[in-house]
Amino acid sequence: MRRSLNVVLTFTLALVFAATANAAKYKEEAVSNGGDLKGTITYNGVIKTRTALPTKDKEVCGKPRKIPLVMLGDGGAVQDAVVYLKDVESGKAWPDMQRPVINNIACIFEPHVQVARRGKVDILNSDPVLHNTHGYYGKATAFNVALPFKDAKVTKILKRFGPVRTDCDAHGWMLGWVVVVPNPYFMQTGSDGNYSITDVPPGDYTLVVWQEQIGETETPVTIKAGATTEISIELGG
Amino acid sequence: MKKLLATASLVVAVGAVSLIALSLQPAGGKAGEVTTGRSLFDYSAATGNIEPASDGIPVTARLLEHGEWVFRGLCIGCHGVEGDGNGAVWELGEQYAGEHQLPRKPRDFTEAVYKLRSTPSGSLPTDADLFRSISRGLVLEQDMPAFKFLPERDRWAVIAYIKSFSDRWEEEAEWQEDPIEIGEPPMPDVAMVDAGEKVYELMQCEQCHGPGGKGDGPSAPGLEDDAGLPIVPRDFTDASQFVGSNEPQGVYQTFTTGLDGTPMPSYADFLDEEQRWQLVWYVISLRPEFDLETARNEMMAMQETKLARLQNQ
Ligand code: HEC
Ligand code: HEC
Repeated sequence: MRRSLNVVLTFTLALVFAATANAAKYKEEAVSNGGDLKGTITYNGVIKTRTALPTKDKEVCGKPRKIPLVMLGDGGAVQDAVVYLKDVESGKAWPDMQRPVINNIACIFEPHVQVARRGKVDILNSDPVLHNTHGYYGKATAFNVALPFKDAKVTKILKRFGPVRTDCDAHGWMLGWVVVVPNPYFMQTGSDGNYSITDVPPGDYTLVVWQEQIGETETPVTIKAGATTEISIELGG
Repeated sequence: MKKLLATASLVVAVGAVSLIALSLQPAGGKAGEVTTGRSLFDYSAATGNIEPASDGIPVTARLLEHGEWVFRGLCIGCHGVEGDGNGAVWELGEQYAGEHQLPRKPRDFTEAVYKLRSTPSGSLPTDADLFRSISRGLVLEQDMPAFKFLPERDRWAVIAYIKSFSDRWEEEAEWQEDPIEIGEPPMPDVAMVDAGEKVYELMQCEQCHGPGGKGDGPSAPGLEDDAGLPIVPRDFTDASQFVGSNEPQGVYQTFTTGLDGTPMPSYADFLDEEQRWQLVWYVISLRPEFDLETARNEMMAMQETKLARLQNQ
């Protein structure tokens, strides 16, 4: 009994240390002879939909409608996929990124998908009704703030990496995403589904493609010095 | 070995928890029925302190081991050996009685999302917050018994232990936000309660809690908590204890920092101090046992106890 208690304890402590190691920060450093990565994200599969069914505040929130969970462009190109590299310890400087804004407008989160780095996010209410913006990492609440009237604004902090889903308990059908990326090697696709990530220190990495319906898809990549690697990904499902 | 241990501790825990539940159940008291607590603000008849006497004790391997022992003895029946909230009381009720024996799921410590925090929404609670929750108990006679009778060392130890279930404490250390400050509540009067009702309307609390505070607002149907279980906005006219403290400071904290893990949002950015206390007294005034006279007397008594404690130090 005693022994197993100790085992569990050691295990717990080990977990704690492992977590500390994981949280290691990205270091900005000049990149010499970096490589580029580019490609197209496409989708070939069933597109699910969700239903926006306003049950209250109808004059603000509009009519019932179906919304596809994959936004497809020509040739199956996926819009609003977030492509990024995982496990990059150091590399190019972060670009100038404005503080992300989640705007509640006509009971829609605007933008629907955006990328952010760890740090502050502004949450805005452009509707004359109560919204509450409730963010989650997975199923766990990341924050939950009331925006009781028009032009109410709250600033919160996105503390961890990963996709943050937002919903509104006052209007249960609302849905939005902020993907918090660990380093500046990322891109959100437009309607052509293309991405390009530049100036990556040569080495082996994991390429992550996040998409609202499909979740995260990981692909191993090797970046060669001074060369462009092309990786196009067809998401399945 | 681990499985055997788990099974054995589950059996022990079910016994222990039933004992606790039995000993705390007042004669004839049923969930939802009006049970008069000791006072408006303090629900548990057990003796012990809710406010910690110190800022805590340093976490050592020995303390963690002690914390595990306390956890195994008193908490796993509900919170589970893995700390994920799937203890026997939760699971077996579903399995054998077809329904859970607790109205709310025991906290999942692996997610480390806590309702009762002096810190802003999205932040981890302070150790003192956890100390108070464990000491006070949550919705007595329904959710979780009060553990204020435990020696303080046991409580600090079990706090250190439940924190070890999640790496949030490590990962977010550098982002941790400061606790809010809660001042002394003003004495309630009719004008304050009336003003509070206006604040309640202005802040749209009624969207969830309903115009009369009965938990029946237009956004109430279909709400869920982080566990995906249905949750109702609190009915303020119900006599049961709040999840948090029933004191004015407790209600102040609830709508200021929100109850993370539930739809109850934080209103930290919108009200001034005066409006907050007005809202507090309006909410408390909806409780069935409320009258201004009693509330004032209890406030007075609370202030005297506090003064006496300060003088003794
Ligand atoms: C009878 C079952 C039961 C037992 C025994 C029990 N708990 Fe709980 N506990 C609960 C339930 C149910 C909740 C969730 C209540 C809610 O969400 O309203 C909870 C929630 C909590 C919370 C979360 C408070 C917050 O802010 O969200 C903490 C911390 C906690 N318990 C610690 C403990 C510790 C430590 C022990 C043992 C000393 C213990 N519990 C024993 C049922 C129990
Ligand atoms: C989006 C819906 C929503 C809004 C808006 C809302 N609440 Fe709540 N509130 C809830 C839910 C759901 C609960 C139940 C939480 C639980 O059982 O853990 C709750 C619980 C509470 C509680 C009980 C806390 C406890 O410790 O048991 C208080 C007090 C409260 N709310 C006050 C307010 C006030 C004041 C406002 C307006 C300033 C407000 N709420 C706005 C959903 C809401």
